[in-house]
Amino acid sequence: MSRLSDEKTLELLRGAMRAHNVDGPPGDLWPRVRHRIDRANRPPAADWVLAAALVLLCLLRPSLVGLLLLHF
Amino acid sequence: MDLLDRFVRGDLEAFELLFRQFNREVYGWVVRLTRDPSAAEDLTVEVFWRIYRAHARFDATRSFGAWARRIASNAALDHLRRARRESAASAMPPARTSDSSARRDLHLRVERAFLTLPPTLRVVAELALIEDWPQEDIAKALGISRSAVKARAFRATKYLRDALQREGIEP
Repeated sequence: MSRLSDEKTLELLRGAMRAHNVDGPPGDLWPRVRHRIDRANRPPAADWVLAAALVLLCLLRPSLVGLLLLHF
Repeated sequence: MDLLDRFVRGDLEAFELLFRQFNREVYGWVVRLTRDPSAAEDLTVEVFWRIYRAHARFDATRSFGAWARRIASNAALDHLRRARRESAASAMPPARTSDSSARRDLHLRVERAFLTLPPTLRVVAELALIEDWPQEDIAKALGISRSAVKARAFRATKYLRDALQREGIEP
């Protein structure tokens, strides 16, 4: 069986596939980028839950405050 | 202070100005490499997120555009690797209403063969074989050596030739 030459392969490829000329995104993508940054800069919900639990624990057992201060 | 220096220090206003300046270029580059405008918006957001995360590593004496393009190339490659596992036929069917049906069928088979290329060969094939870019420019844009571009273009041609023959396209 004969094989396609490199030239014929390229000719077929260029005939079928056109280069893309793109003007730009259809809308403003900045709000999405900004949202992504803000989301990443926000502390995770688990941190808030842990902080609330510590505050509650200190209110219920004030003697633990000293222990916590020693820890820090 | 210079815009790029402000960006390196994490200034969000400076980053927005750079985004406004380069987002069209990044989007166009991603569409070019992926041939998938529907994914390009998400990928452009991803690229600028990666750029922001890496702001402290950017060398302000270098070209921001070239750096952004390299990050966009990596994001496009990641996308192509993921997409390759899915159906190759789902990406951008060619719209050529005036072509005869035999010609359209040939184009579809060529496109199908092209879409089976491994991602690293596919981006080089797009730029070197379809768009006829100089090897030096491709090497810079993808962050690889010129000899790697040459080798990948060669391997892509061989791979395509075999894929076209598997599609039943004869000389």
